[in-house]
Amino acid sequence: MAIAPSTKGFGYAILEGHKELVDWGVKSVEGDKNAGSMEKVEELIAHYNPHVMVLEDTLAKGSRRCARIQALTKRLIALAESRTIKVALFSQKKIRRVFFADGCGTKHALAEIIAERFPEELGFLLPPKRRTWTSEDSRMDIFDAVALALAYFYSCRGLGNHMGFKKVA
Amino acid sequence: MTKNEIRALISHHTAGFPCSAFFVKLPFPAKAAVFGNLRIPILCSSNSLRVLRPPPMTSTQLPNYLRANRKRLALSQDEVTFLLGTQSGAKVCRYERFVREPSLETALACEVIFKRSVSELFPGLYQKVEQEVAARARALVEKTDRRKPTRQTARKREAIAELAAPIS
Repeated sequence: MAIAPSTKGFGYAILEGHKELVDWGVKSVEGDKNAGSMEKVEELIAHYNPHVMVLEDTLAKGSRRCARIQALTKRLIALAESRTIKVALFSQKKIRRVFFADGCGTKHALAEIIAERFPEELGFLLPPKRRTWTSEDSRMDIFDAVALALAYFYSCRGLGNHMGFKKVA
Repeated sequence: MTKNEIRALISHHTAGFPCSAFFVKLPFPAKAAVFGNLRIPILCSSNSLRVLRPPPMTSTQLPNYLRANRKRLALSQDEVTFLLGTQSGAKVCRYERFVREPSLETALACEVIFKRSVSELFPGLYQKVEQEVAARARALVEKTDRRKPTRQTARKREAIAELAAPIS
């Protein structure tokens, strides 16, 4: 189970192995976003009973995530530990190192790689490339969550950059 | 098992990752295949080969995969309800939350809608039923063993023993 918190709520992805996408989506929360997010994550845990929770390492050096997201990550880690769920953290740098040969790439390029990997499930959800004057599409949270999940699987396999994706040089 | 057969099997298990290099280390039974810098531990016996996979994210197989298949087709719960011909939209929600098990007619309708077999759509339920049948088959094997052996009972025993296999 991978959770990617955002300004509106969070994106989530549940995978069974690196090939099977079981559930994915965006949960939007109003009011107290962290409390609402925690409730919704608890519902997902109760439903899917995951082994592993994969999160972005918001406390990593150079991370620019806001204080609320950092606090939410800490609460999610505590929740996972209380349910004896293994926690895996990946910084943006680590994720990009998994997907791109040189470790550099845009969010949209990453989403395109994932949409190519799961064409039936996520192909039609890929938003158009964001213009500088538009805000980010909420569907991008799904791709962030799937990227986290895949990074976990490929780190388990010790694949590094060699994982069969079309690498962007 | 030939090198090509092992290569095909590993390629199948690793979803066709491109293999720039390939070899199997010799010490038996623990062996490893290497694709570039990817090392996959392999358990090898005389006629079978199994690639060890990383642990799954979910603990056990889910009772059904209706939600994943519905989302794959970009259908809403109401639309699936309409296609299933049921009255209440809450039913689909209950199936997806594993609260309720569908009837045979609904399960077959799901097979038609999602173009996946019932056992693929309901693997958890299928596994449960399979184990129950296997347990009953084991009991039946014991019963048939007591009967006088004829060609008919031998055939019957063979069929039931096959059913009993999953948990034996």
